[in-house]
Amino acid sequence: MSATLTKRVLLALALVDLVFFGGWVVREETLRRGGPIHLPIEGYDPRDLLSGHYVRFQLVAVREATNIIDPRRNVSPQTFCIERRDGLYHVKGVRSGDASSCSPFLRATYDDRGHWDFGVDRFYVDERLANEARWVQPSPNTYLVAVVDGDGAIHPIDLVVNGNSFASQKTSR
Amino acid sequence: MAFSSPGRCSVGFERKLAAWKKAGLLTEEQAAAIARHEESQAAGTRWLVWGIAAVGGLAIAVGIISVIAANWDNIPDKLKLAACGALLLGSLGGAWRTSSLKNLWPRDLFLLLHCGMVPATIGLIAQVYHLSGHPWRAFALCAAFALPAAVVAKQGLLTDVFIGFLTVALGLLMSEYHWFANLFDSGDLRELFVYAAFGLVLLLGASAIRGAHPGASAAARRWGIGLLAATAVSANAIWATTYSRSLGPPGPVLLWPLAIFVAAAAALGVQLWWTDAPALRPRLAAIALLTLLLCGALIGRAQESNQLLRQFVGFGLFAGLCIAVAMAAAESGNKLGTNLATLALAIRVFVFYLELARNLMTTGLGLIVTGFVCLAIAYAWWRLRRTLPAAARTGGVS
Repeated sequence: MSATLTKRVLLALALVDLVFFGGWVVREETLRRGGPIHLPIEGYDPRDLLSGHYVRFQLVAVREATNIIDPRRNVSPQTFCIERRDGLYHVKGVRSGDASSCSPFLRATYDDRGHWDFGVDRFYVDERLANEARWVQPSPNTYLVAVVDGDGAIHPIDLVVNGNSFASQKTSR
Repeated sequence: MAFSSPGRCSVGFERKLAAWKKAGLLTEEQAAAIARHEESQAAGTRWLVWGIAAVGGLAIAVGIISVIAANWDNIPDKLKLAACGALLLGSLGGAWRTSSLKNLWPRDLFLLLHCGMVPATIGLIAQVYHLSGHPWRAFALCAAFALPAAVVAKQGLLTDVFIGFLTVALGLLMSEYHWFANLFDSGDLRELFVYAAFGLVLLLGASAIRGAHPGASAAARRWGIGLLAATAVSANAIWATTYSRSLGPPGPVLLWPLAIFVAAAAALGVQLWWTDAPALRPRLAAIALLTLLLCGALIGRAQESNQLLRQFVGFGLFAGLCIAVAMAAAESGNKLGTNLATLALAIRVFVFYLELARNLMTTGLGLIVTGFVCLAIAYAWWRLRRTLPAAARTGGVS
């Protein structure tokens, strides 16, 4: 391959890098500017050792959605209406019809293990704060702060454990 | 004439020169010219200096990484993203600057750095924004970004990286659908058929790009043969085991992985025949035996009474495959391929004894089969020695 053609390929690759990764970062930043909601979580202990300092958890919405529809009998993606109860958002029922039927709503897919998958199951935690996450039990003050976009996808912003925000603790240190 | 700093090697070389002069193979002038040439090429302490410099450079790089890792949580996310982006684009900038050099190794090393920075960037974005998802997508993305680098690079190493990403992505995709569950028990070998088809496609691609990109062609060939060897070994393990009844009867066989494997094997056979490739007959025999080894492993798995027969047939097919590969490699002048195929056969014979050594009957049958295999190898060696020119037997032309 000639040097000129090589340089053209390199230039195109640099542009693709810039557009793809730059666009990805811009998209994630933009999506997190919406109004946040609080989603209760449970079962996030033990942490996955292979994931570094990720805290793994399960949204309460997974259990609530399973009680409404058994995912093993419904292999297509499903959307669920959520409503606010005591400051936290819970699954109310299956979303049907157009966008005006309920808002906000969450989109879930079937994960082949009998669970609804809302696309969120981990949160990166500063290693100096990791021990605090280890001993926490689910409670009304333990939840995920996230933004839900127009497609029902969840974008995590913060993890609050017993009323303490991991994101603010990280920035204050 | 003596070397300025005679060591053990130079003394040995002088002895050889003296022997060649004594045998009349070299004149005094020729011997002196060779000695002068070797002295000018002597590495001396240059490699020692390069070694120290390499250790120093590596120590600095690991030290910088350690310092960054120790303070990782104190670095603002925006700074991490900016630095990662700068390294990503900087690696391409380095490749751009070095692409006009006569020696293209520096450019290819910058491209290799770029291939490493792509997964690092994906991982960093996932960490900063707490993203999770199916891991095969990340590897598939890395493969997509590694492909232009593999096309541009002169070295086959970048193609190795591209195919490596693709192989891992394929495995993770199949794993996501639990295809690897019960691989050696009640599965229908769908994952083996997919990987074997991928290996055959790589071999087809290797032939297609041999003229345009020899380095990439060699890499595709390496991976193709490696994947086929891995699937052949896995299939052989399945021939030697029966499925466990505790897991229930085997389900229906998924046909499309089997179909794409057979189609890829047929396409490779046709391509070899069409191009009149060297060592055509043993190559076609190897493809046929591999097909029988993989497809045959599905037959009679649920019947425990067939186990002994299955073990013998599986061993025979694997031994035949090794012999065909060894003959194809030998006829192509590839000594490494011949030695590896022979080694695989030797290991299989040993494993076969471990499988069968339960009573006198099976041991006796094992000895008879092994005897026939050894005679077949001796016959093949004798035939090759008679038919092949001396250069092909002693050279390393691949």
